[in-house]
Amino acid sequence: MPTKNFEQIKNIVRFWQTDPSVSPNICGVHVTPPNPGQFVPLPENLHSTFRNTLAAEGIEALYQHQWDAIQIITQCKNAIITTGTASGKSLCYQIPIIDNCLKDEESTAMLLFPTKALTQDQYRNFLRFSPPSLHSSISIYDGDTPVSQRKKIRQSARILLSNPDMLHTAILPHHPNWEKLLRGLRYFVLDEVHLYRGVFGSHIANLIRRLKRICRFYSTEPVFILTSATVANAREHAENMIEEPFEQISDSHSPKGTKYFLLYNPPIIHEELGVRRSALSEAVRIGGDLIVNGIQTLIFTHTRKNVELGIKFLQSQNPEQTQEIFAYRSGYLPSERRKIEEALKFGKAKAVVSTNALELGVDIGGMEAVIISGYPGSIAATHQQAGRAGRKKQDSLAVLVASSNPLDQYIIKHPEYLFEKPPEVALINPNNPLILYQHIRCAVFELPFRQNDSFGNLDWTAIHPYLKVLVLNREVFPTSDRFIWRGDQYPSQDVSLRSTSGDSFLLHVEEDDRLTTIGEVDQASVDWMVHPNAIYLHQGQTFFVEALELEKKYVRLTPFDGDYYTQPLMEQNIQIISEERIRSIFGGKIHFGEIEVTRQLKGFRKISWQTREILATEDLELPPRTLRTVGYWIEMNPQSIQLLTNLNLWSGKPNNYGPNWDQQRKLARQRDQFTCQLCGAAEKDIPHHVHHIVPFRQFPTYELANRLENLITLCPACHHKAESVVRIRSGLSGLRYLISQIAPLFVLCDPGDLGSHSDPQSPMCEGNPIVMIYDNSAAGIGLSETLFDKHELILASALEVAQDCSCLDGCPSCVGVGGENGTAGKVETLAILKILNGMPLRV
Amino acid sequence: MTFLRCLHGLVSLCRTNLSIEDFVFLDTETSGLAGGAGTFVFLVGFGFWKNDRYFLTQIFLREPGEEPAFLTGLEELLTPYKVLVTYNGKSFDAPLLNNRFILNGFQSPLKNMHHIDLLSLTRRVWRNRLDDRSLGNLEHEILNFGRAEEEIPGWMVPQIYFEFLQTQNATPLKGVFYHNEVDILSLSALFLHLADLLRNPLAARNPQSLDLIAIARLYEELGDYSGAIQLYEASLEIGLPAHFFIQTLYRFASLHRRTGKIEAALTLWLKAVEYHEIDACIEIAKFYEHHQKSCHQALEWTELALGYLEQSPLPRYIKKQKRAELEHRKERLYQKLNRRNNQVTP
Ligand SMILES: [Zn+2]
Ligand SMILES: [Zn+2]
Ligand SMILES: [Zn+2]
Repeated sequence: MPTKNFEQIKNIVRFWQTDPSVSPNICGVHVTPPNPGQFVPLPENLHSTFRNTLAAEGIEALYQHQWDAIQIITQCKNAIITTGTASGKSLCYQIPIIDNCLKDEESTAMLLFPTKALTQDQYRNFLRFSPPSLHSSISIYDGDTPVSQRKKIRQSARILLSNPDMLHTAILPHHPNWEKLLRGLRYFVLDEVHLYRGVFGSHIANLIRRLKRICRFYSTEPVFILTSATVANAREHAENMIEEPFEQISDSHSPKGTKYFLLYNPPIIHEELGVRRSALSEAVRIGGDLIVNGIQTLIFTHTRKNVELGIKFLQSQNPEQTQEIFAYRSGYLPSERRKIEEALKFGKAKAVVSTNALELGVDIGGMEAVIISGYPGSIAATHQQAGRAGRKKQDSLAVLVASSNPLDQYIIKHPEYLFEKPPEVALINPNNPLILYQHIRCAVFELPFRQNDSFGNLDWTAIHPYLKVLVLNREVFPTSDRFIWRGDQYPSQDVSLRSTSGDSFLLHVEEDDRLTTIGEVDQASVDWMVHPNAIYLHQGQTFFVEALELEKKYVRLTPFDGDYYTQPLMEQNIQIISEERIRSIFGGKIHFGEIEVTRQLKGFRKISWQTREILATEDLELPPRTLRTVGYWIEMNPQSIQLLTNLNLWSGKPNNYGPNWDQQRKLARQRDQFTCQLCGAAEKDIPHHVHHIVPFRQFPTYELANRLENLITLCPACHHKAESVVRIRSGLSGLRYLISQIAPLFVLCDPGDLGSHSDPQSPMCEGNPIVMIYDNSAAGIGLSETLFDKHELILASALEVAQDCSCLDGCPSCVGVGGENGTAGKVETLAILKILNGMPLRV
Repeated sequence: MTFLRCLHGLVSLCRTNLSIEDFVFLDTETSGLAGGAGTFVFLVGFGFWKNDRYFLTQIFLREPGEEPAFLTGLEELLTPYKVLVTYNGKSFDAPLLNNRFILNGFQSPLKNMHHIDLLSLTRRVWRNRLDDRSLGNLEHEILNFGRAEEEIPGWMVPQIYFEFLQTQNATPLKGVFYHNEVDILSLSALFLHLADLLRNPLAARNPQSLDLIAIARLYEELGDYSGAIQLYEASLEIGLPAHFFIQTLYRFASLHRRTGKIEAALTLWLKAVEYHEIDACIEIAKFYEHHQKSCHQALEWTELALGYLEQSPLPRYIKKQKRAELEHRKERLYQKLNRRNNQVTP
């Protein structure tokens, strides 16, 4: 790697601070001073061969935190390691594992990684650090392991690298095949446990209960070593998951250069509307400054589509460096991803545009600069992505580029939210009855239950009822002294640890009667990414979707060189299937029942690469995707709404733009020559939108609001941008935001495990306003029913949160935020909460 | 290759000092699934020969709590035998029994025995003829016998066992015992049939040409070339369906070439050319180039191959690839010809 000018990062930051096209956009610079690091020699008692291998790999000393971790682990205490990216977390367990395997011939270790890519990465590291004599005992066992090798691995592996799904379906149900590994199991590593939260984490906790039960059968009691990115409660999370005490290693002593963290708000491109340039195009623009200076840059963006758009922009901006600019995301073939990881590690890639797929710990070396295009949605993810910047003692740079999304605009103006607040907590509930039931079911198959057995920290009285249900279902048979499996299916087969299920679709490109596979798309994304006639982007190349074979699960593509890309138009609909419980509360009613969420792709837009204008809109007929689940909803009664309306605290009603609206709208479009006043796109078959520059609600009469001076013609895409700036949130949507924020605390799940919906005039409740929270998985796992039961507690705590929050008009921690020039409606939400809590309204 | 080892075991049965009395024929009935820690065996049947008589024994687990005793009994019964014979036992019965021994804290006795799984052998011998190679179908197609009314289908077995556990009424189990018994009988019969067939395939009453070419391949793999040649000749004489006919011409020709009988191979390739076989043209072109040193002839055959290629229904990318190969060959032959011509005329 070329040696770098040490001042380079500092220089570019200085350059930006004086450059008139950049400096006004920098809203904050957060500098972390350098840290020289703290080194200690390798532990004395390491196996001599191992010591030599480490020396050959250039490892003769450790960071202090690595040494601390190794001490804890070798004293047979469980450890959770939460030091940052590039702090050498893996060495903390690799050293004790390899050393122990060399000293004790019977000793073994199992390591679970959340992704195949991480597993491969770790496998290479294990080979690198261990003496050759051990190599044949180190194996990966995952879905890609050829069947022909599996038997040998089961019999000979001593360091096994796998994933939770394999432990669940392949290892535990067939544990006698793994006798040797399990009898010697000394260390068990669970990597990246911050990912295992909510429903997914609760499954993993039960998987660990099953593992420990099997370990007891083989008389082993492994030491657990967990690693995690920043979460507020890492140690508690580890203890909840493993049900044993843990020691935490959190202080990093690896050396670091100065780190510059810039907050960047794209410039306003239309003063009157307050619309800003898009985050992605600004990320590409400042990324260009870095690439020109030879600074290796990683650009993070939210969506796979944005990755592809980003790389296209970046390549056309830097035509000489096209070969050194890559895209990285899920859906690429493993070999291609591996190639890009290598290119990053060895400096061949100058810039990579990626989704959060690169946020995880795959070793790509340290980046010199990271640009985050759009707030990733959580404090933890922001730090995780920014943490990819930093190469040994060199200075590094991270830039957060805000999008026009209200949340981004809030963050960029309140940097303390990012730098002073603790990151999010990781919550799990291993005793969720439905999850527990599924795992007790799996556990019976693995070993019969006998009277007075326990399961994790649950004793016989807690698990016996579940066994009785299984007996009634004729899946378990009670003999005189035990409960045995009698079902004709493997119980683990219909228990999916992850909520995202289903096979992925392969992407075939057709040339000369032959199909080449270029990647894959997960089931959930098929409709909107590769619907018929869609343009699919891959490493900046464009393909046309010839056919989507829903049954055979593949997509046929042909190379495409047209001048447009496509944007899907989705529609979501919620319906009540059956109402199971209902109860009166202050100001309305609450309900619990079965619901159906339907998502359907209605059509797509063709968008020009050059002008971004919409060239055409086409309809599609695809089967709808439905999610049958359960939900809990709060219905407000008309009296409450009347009360709020009287006090001018209800803005839930849709705007009625008045009798002259149609006419004014036509006049405005005529005046603007049927052209979008922001992007210049001309009107095609569908009329452009007409937007109120100052929101309609802020005028006393419709005549004033609909004056031509207050109207402007915009294409649908630009209208969306303009709206987000002036978004005025209703009290009801503030309530929905607040409840979906705090509900996870009451059911110990992840925010993503719940969906939410609000409607000021819901057809589901005779036109009354509702806020609905539902289980975000098929059939649900009982979260919303618990919420229904805890309704009063939740509403009381919601009121407390909103009242105690020191913000003036909403923030991400209470009712959410409104548009940059809009309002969040906190007063309204507070009023609604008072009514629902049975409290008097004082104004 | 494990298969070859078991084939050796079988073929050399009458030549080694193993006697038929060293073999035990085993089949199990289980609580349901194809494997895994929660699946157990409740019935094991053994067939064996003693003093020229055939015996069949079954042991039964009448209550899951008695599994240790059941396994101990099983171990004792297996002790006298050296070779275990099963149908699909390598992937089913043996691993399952091994699991049960491990789960009860025992060493598995199966690990010390040779194991012949007839399924893999059956697959090879009847590869061209039978799509359904279940034991039931082999009984019907090869051994010519059927089952009595007592027979119950395999998928019902676990259900009947659990019902017995619940009611303690053993009558419905009769069907299960019968099913297991017949499985062992046909396994033993199949073993004898295969041993005969492989020892002398042409001695069969009505030799099937499709079986003969499958066995010829086995012979080839074992290095018994003269045996293989005899079978290929016999099968071509009896006659084969078109696809197998062409396949056999190529296999047989390549065997001839490997054993140095290139002229014999040529005859077979020429026969294949009658069916517009491109690869046969290429082989003949190679023959003329390398053996006859006739680039002219080689060129002609290459041209012919190119002609056939155009008419062939192969996918485009394969055609593309083949065409490139053939063009390359043609080019090379031209160069060779030119060089030779230049040398001749100074
Ligand atoms: Zn526009
Ligand atoms: Zn508008
Ligand atoms: Zn707030």
